[in-house]
Parts: sequence; C-alpha cells; structure tokens
Amino acid sequence: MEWLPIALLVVPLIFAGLVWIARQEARPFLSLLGTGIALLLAIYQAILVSQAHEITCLGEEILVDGLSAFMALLITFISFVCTIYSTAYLTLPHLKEATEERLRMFQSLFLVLEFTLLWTVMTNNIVLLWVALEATTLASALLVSFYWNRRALEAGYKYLLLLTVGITSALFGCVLFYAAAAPHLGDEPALLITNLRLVIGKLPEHISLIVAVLLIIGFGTKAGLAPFHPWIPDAHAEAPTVMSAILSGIIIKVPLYAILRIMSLFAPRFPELGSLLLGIGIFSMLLGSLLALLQEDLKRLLAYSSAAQIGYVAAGIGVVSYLGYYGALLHIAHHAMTKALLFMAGGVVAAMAKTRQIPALGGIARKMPATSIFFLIGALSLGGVPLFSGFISKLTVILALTQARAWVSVTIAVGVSLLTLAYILRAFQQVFWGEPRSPEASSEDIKEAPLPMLLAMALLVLGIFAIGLGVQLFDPILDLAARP
Amino acid sequence: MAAMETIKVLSLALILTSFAAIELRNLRGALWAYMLQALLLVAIIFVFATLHPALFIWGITALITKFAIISWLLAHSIHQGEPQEYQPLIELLPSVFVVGLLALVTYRLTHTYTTFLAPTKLATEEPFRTNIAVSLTVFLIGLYGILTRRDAIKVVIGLCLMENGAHLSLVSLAPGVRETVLIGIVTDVVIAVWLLLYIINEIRRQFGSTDSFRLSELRW
Repeated sequence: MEWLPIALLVVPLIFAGLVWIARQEARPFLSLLGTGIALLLAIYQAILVSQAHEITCLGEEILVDGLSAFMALLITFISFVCTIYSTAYLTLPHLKEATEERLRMFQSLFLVLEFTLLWTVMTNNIVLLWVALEATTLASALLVSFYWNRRALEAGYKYLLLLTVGITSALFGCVLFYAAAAPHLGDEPALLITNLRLVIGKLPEHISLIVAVLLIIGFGTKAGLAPFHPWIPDAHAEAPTVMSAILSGIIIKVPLYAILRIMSLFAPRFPELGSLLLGIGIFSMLLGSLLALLQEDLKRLLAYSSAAQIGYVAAGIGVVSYLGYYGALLHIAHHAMTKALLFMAGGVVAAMAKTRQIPALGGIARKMPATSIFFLIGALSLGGVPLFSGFISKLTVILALTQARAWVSVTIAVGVSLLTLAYILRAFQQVFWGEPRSPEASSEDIKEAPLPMLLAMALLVLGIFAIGLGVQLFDPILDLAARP
Repeated sequence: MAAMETIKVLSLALILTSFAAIELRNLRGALWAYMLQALLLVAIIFVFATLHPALFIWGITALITKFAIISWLLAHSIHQGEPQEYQPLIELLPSVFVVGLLALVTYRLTHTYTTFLAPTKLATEEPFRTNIAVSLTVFLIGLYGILTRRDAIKVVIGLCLMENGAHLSLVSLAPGVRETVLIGIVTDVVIAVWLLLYIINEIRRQFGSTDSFRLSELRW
C-alpha cells in the first residue's frame, strides 16, 4: 500500500495543473473531482492505517500513522466541502468584478494549498515539515488577499509577514534539533522524526528546551495562539468566505498537529513544556473570547472566537496525557466542522446583505430560513450544547484537565465555554431575528443561499452530529492518533 | 589557518553590510548593501567548503537565490517608487547606536557562551563558533529592522537579513543535510519575498506609498 500516501499527495497537484489550463466552465467540475478523489483516498488510507497502524514510503520520508491519517481525513473532507461551497460562491454577484485570471488563480491555488496541507501532516522529515508548513502560508497568501482591494492587501501583507517572521524561529529550532541529534545517530538520517525520537533522551537538557520553545513559538504563531493572534481577525475577515472557512477549519489546525508531534517527542522528558502550552492555551481562550465579545463585525467575531477555541486544543495537548491528546484531536475535528459551517452561513448572509456589521443586520431568518437554521446549529455546537460536537470535545478536554488536577484551568475552560455560548447566540439573535435595522438588511436582493452552498453546510452539519452523537465511529482512528 | 582568518574578516564585513542595509535611508543604497552581503555570504560558504566539500553546492544555491533572484526582485520593486525610505520610528543617530549595541552585545554573548547554544562539541570550536555568533547577530539586526522601519520595502530587506542569518547558521549546524532539504528552504524564502513584494507593489499602486503605517484600516 506504499503508493497510497503518494497518490494522495499527487492528486491535488495534478488537478491544480488541470484546473489552471482548463476552460472556465470545466474548472468547478475538475476542482470537485480532484478534492473528491483525495477524500476517497484519505478515507481508504484511514481504514488501512486503523488496521496496519502505519504506512511508510520513500525510505520513511513519508510516514502515515494514526495521527497523520486522521489529519489527512479532516483536511480532505473540509477541502471537499469548501469546494462544493465555492462552486456557488464564486458566481455570487459581488465577485463579478473579479477577473477571469484571478478566479483561475483562486481555484488552482486552492488545490495547491490542499497539497501543502497534506504534505505537512504526512512528512516524517523535521525540516521538510517546516518547509511544508511555510508553503501552506505561501499558497494561501494570495487567496487571503484575493479581493485585491486596500483592506485585502493590508490583510495579505500582515499575514505573510507575521507568519514568515514567526516561523523562522521554528527553522532555527529544527536545525538545532537536527544538529544536536546527528552525532548520536551515526549513519542514520537524523532528519527523520522517527529517528529523532530514539535519541531524544541523549540530547543535552538546555538544548532540548531551547529547541522545543523555538518550535512552539514558531508553530504557535502560525496557529494563532495568543499572544501571536493579531493576524487571525484580519486574515479571516478580509479573505473570501471559502478561505475564512478553510483558515479556521484547517490552516490553523495543521500547526497544532506539528505542536502535538513536537510535544509527543519532548513532553515525556520535560513536563514543564506541557505547563507552558497549557498556560498559552488558557491565555488564548480568555483573550480570544473577550475580544470576540467586543466585535460588531460578524466575520471578525468568528475569527476571534477561533483564537479562543484553539486555546482548548493547546490546553488539551498541554495536559500531556492520552485523554488530553484525544480531547485535543476531537476538538480539532469539532472546531473544523463547526467554524467552517458558521463562516459559510455568516459569509453568505454578508455577501447577500453587502454588510458584515451585526448591528446593521436583522430579520434575515425570514428571507434565508435554511441558512439561519444552519447558523443556529453551528452556534449551539460552538457553545458546547449537549448532542452537538462541541459538547463532547470540550467535555473530553475538561475531563483531561480535571485528571491533571488543573482546577484553575478547568474553571476558566468552563467559564469561557459559557461566554462563547452567550456571544454567539447574541450574534445569531441580532443577525437573524427581529426587524431589519438598515436598508441593506431589508433589501429585496437577499435570497436563500444557492443549493451547492446549502449542500456544503448540510454535509458539515452531518459531521457535527456524527461527532456529537456517534463519536465511537471515529474511535479506531482517534485512539491510534492519540498515541503518537 | 588561512581559512580561519578569511572567515573572520568576511564575517566582520557581513555584520557591517547588515548594518548598512538597515541604516541607509536611500533604498538603492540599502539594496547595494544587501547585494554585497549576499556575495559575502556566498564567499563565506565557499571558504567553509574547503573544510567540508559538500558545501560547494550550498554556495552555488546561495549565489543563485540570495544574490541573483532576491536582489533582482528587490531592485525591480525599488525602481518603481521613491528611492528615499519613509522616516522610520527611530531617528538615524539613536538607531545607529541601538543597532551597534545590539550587534556588539549579541556577538559577544554568543561568542563567549557558545557552549550553551552549540549542540555539538565541533560547533564550539573555531571557525564554527564565530559563524554561529555572526549568524545570530545578522538575524537579530534583521528582526530589529522589521520592528522599527515604516517602509514596507525596508521591512522586506530586514526579513532577507533574518533569512541570511538563518542560512549562515546552517553551515555550522547542519553541513550534512541533503541538497533537497536545502533547496526546499531557499525556495520557500524566495517565494515569500516574491509574494511580499508583489503585494507591496500593489499597495503602492492603491495607497500611493509603501508606508506601512498607512495600513491601518484593520484594527481590533
């Protein structure tokens, strides 16, 4: 089965090329086909890995274990759903001014982005992990500034600069790690994570700590953990909605995957790193949700909330236990579905009403009933209401924190969860209920979202309930993934 | 040890060029400083290659990417706009003082306490010891430039200095790394610089300047 991971990597690239040269009418179909095949391959890979535990190829350069297979599954699923959504989104009236060239670039780069994301989670080479993660930033930069207006350019500039500078510290970390490990490994290739794991106990203590901290800072910037979060709201708000969905859904999750890998190497020897990550996570939760409370712009509110939810994942990883990792991964999956759904529902409202200001909207539910129900499901799931995915994932993280007797963190995690429910339901009520509070919100142009968008959102709802009601379904792969 | 002396002289010159690239207010002057630095970087790698022949390929890679491609990209962007940079946050005199102090302290500290940072015994010996100290100094000067300059092009030059510093440290820390990995790293850097300048050129067209302080529509 050695061909499978390679096929999974190559398929998005081939289709990116095909989309680039294809005619306009054929491009949405090709994008769907490419992401669809990738999804099927990732499902097959997850099934195989849950039986065989791991697949390696290219001399162990590519290694797919439970964790990689789980992330690949999530990446391909969200990419597929976003592609369905984008077939309708790219034909909305507000995009008419975008030139043919820019649309072609968008659809093609989207598939390149999927490739870089998959590459990041499947490589077993510590420096290529860095290269691939930086490549996700590069592939997404032009997608973030797609609208090419002043605000989009500003967001794109900040996104690219901050992430590139931040992640350079991770490069230092990777190189130092390699250099320290190489003498202990003799002729074995010292860049492979599986080999590094063997000698981690032999490295000098202070070097190990410097390496781990540099890597956590570098990858943490990319993940948007506080205090490295300032790029999050700008990039999310100014990017096209499809991009916001994939930014929150996947792009900020992949660096957390990298942090989880690093922690699984270092944490057994240095428990204090777990405390550091736990602290960063709690800080992100608090800061993200407090700033979300202050927002009047719907997309910025959702973006700050992402920064807060990332905190739960970091806290889960910071506990450094099986349950903590399990909860963190579950929360990654939950948040990918939920936040993508909220961005999709909120984004189509903003595109129809031509405003994102929450106080200017109102009464949208009458014109867009299906979208409003989808947004409500997303809001309840984000707030952690039972039966929805957010309940089970937050519960697992909080149980892990309880197990570690981190009582302050438990209190804050529960409090932030209630706060989240409060601000997201308030936003829902202001946007969808009541009377329209501006001419834009009462415009006749506001109609129910087109069918492909509704289909995409319905798939995400399915995912939310699958996790919320039948988490056992994913246990074989999650169980493996939580033992990296 | 002729190689050792050469490396020391080249390293000192490398720090001076970083200094000039950050402090010269004329963007074309800063570009010349950057180009000189890229050449010095290549020269240092070639001198190291006399100790470790595999590094010749690295020198050629650096020559193509750091000197040829990145300089061309910067030149292309600088020639489209005003040659004078926007007034940075810190005046010339205090800035020169701060950078000088920063460079001196970083260099002294890292050179004296290399054992703390160096992962291997080899790296604590000359010329690797000097090399690590120089690369960290160049890295920090670049970071200082990013934090204090208003002009977006100057910020990109700062980023290039940071990347040069990181690249230089690879020579001492990871000379055994395969070329594919190295090419992966430099490709990322070149694409990052290209994309940043591509966006900055459009910012100049729409905002009428490359002053990053005017990028202030997005707050909170």
